Amino acid sequence: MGNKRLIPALSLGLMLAAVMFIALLVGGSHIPFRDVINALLNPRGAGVFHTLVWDVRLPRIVLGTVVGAALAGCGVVFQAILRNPLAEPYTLGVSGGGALGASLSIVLGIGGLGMVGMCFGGCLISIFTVYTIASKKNFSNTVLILAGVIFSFLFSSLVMLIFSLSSTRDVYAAVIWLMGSLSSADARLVWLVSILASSALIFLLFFSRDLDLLSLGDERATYLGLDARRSKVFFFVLASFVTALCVAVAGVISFVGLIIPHFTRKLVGPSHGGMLPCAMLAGSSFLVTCDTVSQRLLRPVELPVGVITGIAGGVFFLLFLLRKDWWGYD
Amino acid sequence: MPVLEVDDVSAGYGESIVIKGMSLELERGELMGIVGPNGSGKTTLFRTMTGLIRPRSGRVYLKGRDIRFIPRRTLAMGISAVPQLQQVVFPYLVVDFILMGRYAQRGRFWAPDKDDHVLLEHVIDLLDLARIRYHRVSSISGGELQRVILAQALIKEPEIMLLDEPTSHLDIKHQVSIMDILKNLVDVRKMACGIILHDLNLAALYCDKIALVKDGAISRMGRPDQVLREEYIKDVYTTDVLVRKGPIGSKPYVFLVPGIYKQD
Repeated sequence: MGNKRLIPALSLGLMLAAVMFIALLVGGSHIPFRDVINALLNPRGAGVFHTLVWDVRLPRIVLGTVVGAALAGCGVVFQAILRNPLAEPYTLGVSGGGALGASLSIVLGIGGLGMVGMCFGGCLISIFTVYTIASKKNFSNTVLILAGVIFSFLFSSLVMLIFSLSSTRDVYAAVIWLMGSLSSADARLVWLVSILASSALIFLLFFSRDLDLLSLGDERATYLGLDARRSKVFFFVLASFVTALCVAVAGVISFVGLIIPHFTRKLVGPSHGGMLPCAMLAGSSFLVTCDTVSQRLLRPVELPVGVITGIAGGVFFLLFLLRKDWWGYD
Repeated sequence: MPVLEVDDVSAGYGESIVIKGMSLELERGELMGIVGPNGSGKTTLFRTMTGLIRPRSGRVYLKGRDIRFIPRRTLAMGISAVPQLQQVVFPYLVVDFILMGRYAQRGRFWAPDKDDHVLLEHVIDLLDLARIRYHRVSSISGGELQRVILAQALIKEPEIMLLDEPTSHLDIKHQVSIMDILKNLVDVRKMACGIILHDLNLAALYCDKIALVKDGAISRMGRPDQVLREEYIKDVYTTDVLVRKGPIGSKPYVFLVPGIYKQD
């Protein structure tokens, strides 16, 4: 990696560190600067601020960092392997299965880890189904996308069916969940998901050249020396699995996986060696920021973070798209 | 021994068989043109020769080795294949795009070093891309893109080059310049080159050997003057043509006959 690529990555890294620290200071309530530092320096300390920093804010910020990086990274992967700038982590139907699992568990009164498990199971079912269908058609992009869209619709209809048969309170809880939140955060679960997802993401970084090649199309990638089909399956399964982890702990957080790849591509160019790590860093910063805003905006009411990412992302993206020097897909 | 040999190959997609029992040989220092009507199986033949699709029956040999047993990266080092022009979705820089051609040699854990840059400068020179080297592949013209893709294929320094209609989007200047470059590589570096062409006259002017494809089989094969004859072309394309000896290098020249002149 030359300097040209290091500078944006470093800046984004610094930005993430700043954003994370600010999020520690200003969550739902303000903690004085000195107390945050104190708490961080004494992991074994005690007191209200200490508990707040270590047991409430830190897991939440770590989760935001990991989920943001994961959604952005998976967005990059899906856009590259499907050669489609409109693809995102949920395009292939992962979130549909997750939403179905989560709604079912809410209606059945299963909470906590059981709900996370059902949601994750739902994700895996949709990944498996789409995989099975696509494998019969040689994993062509069209079939993958169509299968994903079909199952998204199918699953969301089933979710609606469940809603129509359940009580208002359950429906409300499910809808809030569907909009995405980082607050659920059972600390052990946060650490487990963070370790799994971040190791998968780091692993992914080693395959950025394969993404470059696949983004030129399967045929061309094959001629350049890549086993395109195997590589596509590898990326599809890995990225879907990471997305499933995110959906299971944080619900369906929209827009991060769509706009961050575009933003990063504009910033550092489309070559994945530089772009993939930058996208992950930018995704983390974006999601942690949005989560902080969601806690502050209408305090003490906490908004679903998916609403903030959707609004902020949409407006930001629109301004970006309307700029004159936008190079890209015209 | 031919560097690439297609031996009695049948191939197709799913249930349908597109080419039936095709055989041909490509030698070092030989430029072979593959011509034939739309849908006659040229592209399927191309994809079989490159190893993209497995033959239903028959074999393809690269220097005597069955290509089914050659790993993808090794195969890509021996054969550079350029499929029909397709838009590149993501706005890569021209230089980054060309360097992707080094993947087969260098693998995924690799940053371009001095050798790669020497090769890069060489192909940029060869294909006259200096002016657009830092442009985005999504915003250059079709002709420029075709040359950039050719540069990506040539940076592998392949022994064999297979191209599917490399000139179809180019103006006459660039058609000639690309065919000149390929011809030169074939003559000087003894590369073996197989090209699918639509333009029969371009094929006549440049190719050492022409394969005329009809309905998934090779109908004629030989020197341009042996293959490009009125009766053969009429038979394969089912259209009227006149063939005369052209003024350049005494190659055959194919004239099309528009309907309004057909009353005799």
